[in-house]
Amino acid sequence: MAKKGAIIELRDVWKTYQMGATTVQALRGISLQIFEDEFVAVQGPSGSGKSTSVNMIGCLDLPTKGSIFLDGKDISKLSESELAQIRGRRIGFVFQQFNLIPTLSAIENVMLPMTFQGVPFEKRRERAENLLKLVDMDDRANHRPSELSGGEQQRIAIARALVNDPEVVLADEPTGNLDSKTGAMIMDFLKKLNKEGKTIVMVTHDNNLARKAERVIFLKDGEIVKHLS
Amino acid sequence: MIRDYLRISFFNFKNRKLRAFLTVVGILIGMTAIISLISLGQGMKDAINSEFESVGIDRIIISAGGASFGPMGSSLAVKQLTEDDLDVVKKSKGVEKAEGILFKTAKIEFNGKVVYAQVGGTPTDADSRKEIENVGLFKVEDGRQFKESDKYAAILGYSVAHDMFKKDLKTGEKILINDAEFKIVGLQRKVGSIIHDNLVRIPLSTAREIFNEKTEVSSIFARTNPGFVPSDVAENIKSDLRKHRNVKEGEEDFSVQTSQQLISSLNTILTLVQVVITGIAAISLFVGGVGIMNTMYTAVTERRKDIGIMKSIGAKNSHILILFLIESGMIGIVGGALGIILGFGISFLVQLIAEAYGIVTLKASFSLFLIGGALIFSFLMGTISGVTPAIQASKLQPVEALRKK
Repeated sequence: MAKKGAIIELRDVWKTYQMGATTVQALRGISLQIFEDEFVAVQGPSGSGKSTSVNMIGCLDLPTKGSIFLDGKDISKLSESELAQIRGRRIGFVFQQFNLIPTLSAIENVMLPMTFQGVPFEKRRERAENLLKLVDMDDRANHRPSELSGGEQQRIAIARALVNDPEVVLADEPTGNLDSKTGAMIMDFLKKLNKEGKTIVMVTHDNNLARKAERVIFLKDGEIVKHLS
Repeated sequence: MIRDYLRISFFNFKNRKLRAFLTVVGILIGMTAIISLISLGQGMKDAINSEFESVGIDRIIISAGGASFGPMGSSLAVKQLTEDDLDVVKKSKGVEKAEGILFKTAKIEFNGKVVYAQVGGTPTDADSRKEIENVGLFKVEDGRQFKESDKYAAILGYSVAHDMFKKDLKTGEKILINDAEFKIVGLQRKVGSIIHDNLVRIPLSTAREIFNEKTEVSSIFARTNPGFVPSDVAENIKSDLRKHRNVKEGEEDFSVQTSQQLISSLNTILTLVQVVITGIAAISLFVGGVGIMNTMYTAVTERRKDIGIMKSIGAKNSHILILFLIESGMIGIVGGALGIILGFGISFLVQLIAEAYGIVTLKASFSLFLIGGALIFSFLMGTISGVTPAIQASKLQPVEALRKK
């Protein structure tokens, strides 16, 4: 059972991928807890299992062995659609590649997660407009992602991640594709969100960024090698 | 929700205009063929039915040989009908009136130009004239009907008077029928029937003379007495003629058909022809469906990452499934709608061309039922074609889908 205050707990989680004839052990018995209102950074070299562990935390992937608890409830046996509902309501994703839908405008991208939750159109529009204001992108609402800079796209992605008011925001190398100035701005924004009560889990290989988190988890070869608070 | 799915599908559609257009063409061609064939087939049925209605449903037609749709006067039958048979028919129970008409293909000559047309020898006694004049198909628009005293007089069908010779024929002018000179006394109005518009009518007695047919009649047209059911009267005629011609039941060398029976057997044949040609056209629709399936499989591969993104932000398998089904259905319905417009356009064009050549039976039929049915069918066709790609899309694992560059 997760201790009080832990939103997400990974307990002895193993993940094995089959890449052709090769078996890749992405995670080797990881156990960790993410607590409410925390800002956690996950660090490690390429192939250390950072993204895989964050995918597990975000219910995007299920372990080959071990369990994942969300508010003390084991979600490892849930169906893909049940996991989708959890992702939609409780977790917001910010990706390195921004991952906006290229055919939709900025505001439509922000509205999309609410569409899958059945939120009425007017409410969706209003909330998306507010969030675009929050990330200072309201004047670019009707632009397609291809018409926006990397920093602008990431701000849209953050607005999208927040639109269903999730408890946890997972950011996988959120500044990886941005220049340092824009990266710092995004980082400040994540810090601000954390202060407002959001739990942030951020994958990064940048020590400077990781230092801004309350806790840093170091991974190597699919195992946690160090915890820094 | 559906509005949002439609929007997303529409944007995807818009973003890949050429591919979407090419896929739509597959359905469009199939639907165009089907709509134009059904529209023309139905129009033809309606026109033929109304032609029969103008003859009257209380009529019975007796022809030599088995029941057939060969041209009137064709001498395929072994034993022709004669005046004696006509007398038998006239005496049959329930027959109010019966006429024998002699049809022959004859040489028609005017101003040195020779054409061959059907010549119908029709009775000119007062009763028969009244009978014929009441039939809409024989109405005269210029000149007059026959008088009992007419001998070498001719009434021309619309096409004979207006299309067959260099100039339009007028009443009072002379034509040669099998080298005998006839005066044109009347011109029939255009009725849209190939048979009646191409017919030259002359008095029956004159026809017997110039064709050297003493007793033969090509067809007997009988009218049922009010109070009798045409099919019962037809059975009476059959029975009487069997006795007179000395043939057993089931081995008749003549056919007796009520106009109702003729309509229904003609409709059966037309429906059959329509089903067969529509079936052939449906093959192209099937090919169009395969085209949609191919496009949707390509779309799933291309949009793997979009699917992954949508799943990561809360889309369930069913959301992705519906999204792709709507998209393929949309391709179907757009192709269908364009096909309907083009199909009706083509059938209307065929109608215009046919009219220009005097064929009024080739009509386009426009029905809301056909339009609605075709739209629903094309949407279903598109949706069904998209089922397997959509299932494939919905079952993608979000992490794997996101990994796709």
